[in-house]
Amino acid sequence: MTEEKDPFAELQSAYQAQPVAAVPVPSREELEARAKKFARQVWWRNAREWIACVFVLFFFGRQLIDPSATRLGFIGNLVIVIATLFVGGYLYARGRTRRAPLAGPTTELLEHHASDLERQARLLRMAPFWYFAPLGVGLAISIVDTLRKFSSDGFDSAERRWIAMMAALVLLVFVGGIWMNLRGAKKLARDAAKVREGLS
Amino acid sequence: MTLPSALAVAVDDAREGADARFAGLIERHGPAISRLCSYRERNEQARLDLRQDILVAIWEAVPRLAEVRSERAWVLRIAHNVAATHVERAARGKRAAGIEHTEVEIADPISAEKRAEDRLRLEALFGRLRTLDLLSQQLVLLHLEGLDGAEIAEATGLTATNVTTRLSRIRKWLVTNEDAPKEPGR
Repeated sequence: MTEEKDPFAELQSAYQAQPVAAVPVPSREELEARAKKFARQVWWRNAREWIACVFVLFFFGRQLIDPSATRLGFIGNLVIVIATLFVGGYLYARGRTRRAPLAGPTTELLEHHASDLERQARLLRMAPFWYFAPLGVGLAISIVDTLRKFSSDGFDSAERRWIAMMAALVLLVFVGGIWMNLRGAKKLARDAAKVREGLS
Repeated sequence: MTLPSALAVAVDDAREGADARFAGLIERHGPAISRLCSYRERNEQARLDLRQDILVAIWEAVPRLAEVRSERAWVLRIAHNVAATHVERAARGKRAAGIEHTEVEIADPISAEKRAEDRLRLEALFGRLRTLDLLSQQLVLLHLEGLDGAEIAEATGLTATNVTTRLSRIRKWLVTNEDAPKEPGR
């Protein structure tokens, strides 16, 4: 009786027979430098959001101390500053990049990836409430204030057209932003489900 | 010897000890790490990057090495985790990581004909393997590397029974010419 060959055992030998170059052991300095580089990358990824917040805070915060500002203008700027602080805090609490648990079992790592994707999907899905709504209210108040300043003599038809176009543009940016966020959220949720599928 | 200098000496000794252990790990398991990098990344530079990231992750985890049962499973677990993170990152950045055809080379002591045959078989295997989820791919690669069920369970976090069941299904699927089943890993 002939013994049947295990096709997988042959694949195993072929796999292990692949020629590989020796792995040079990096020096401690090289390893430390690379580890630091990675930590810096994570830091910058988180800092990007903060830089945008600081920029908005600087621009609208400066307007808060402008003595010529109307009460409505002041309220608009105040709402934007508060909204920006809120957005920054929300991102810090829920949107920070976390380091993957690389030394743990793979199931733990994949769980981490899946929950990270779900967290990002949730952030994007909820963006109309925590991002667009607070900033949108402040921006709307500021726009109304600007319009009131220039409307004391009334608008002619060309100005009205220009205002309508600008309003449509702002609306389009907001609606487009919300649409893109929802689309991104859907994709991330699909990716997370795929990772979870492999885990179950 | 004063206390601070004794501490400094102890820290230096610990660092040297950790460095020596790390070097030993790389010497013993470097080839397996290289095989994994070749499977995951077809681009030479990306492959080197992945290898460096794996080495850093292992080096950072060396202080926890005493707690593990199988050194090989532990090293390969970290290596696979880093590689999985690379794949995820590549998917986000739309960069292909080991998705396309990989040139497989076989070591010399065997005949050229056998070498060519093995190369084709491995390429076909890798092609099919890449259609599976990351965990299933890892199961097969660890199995190909020669780890037993208990070691694979330790590396992946699955139970030994789960490893056996999944592997047997995937093995069956890989050696047949059927189309990919919907959930081959289960």
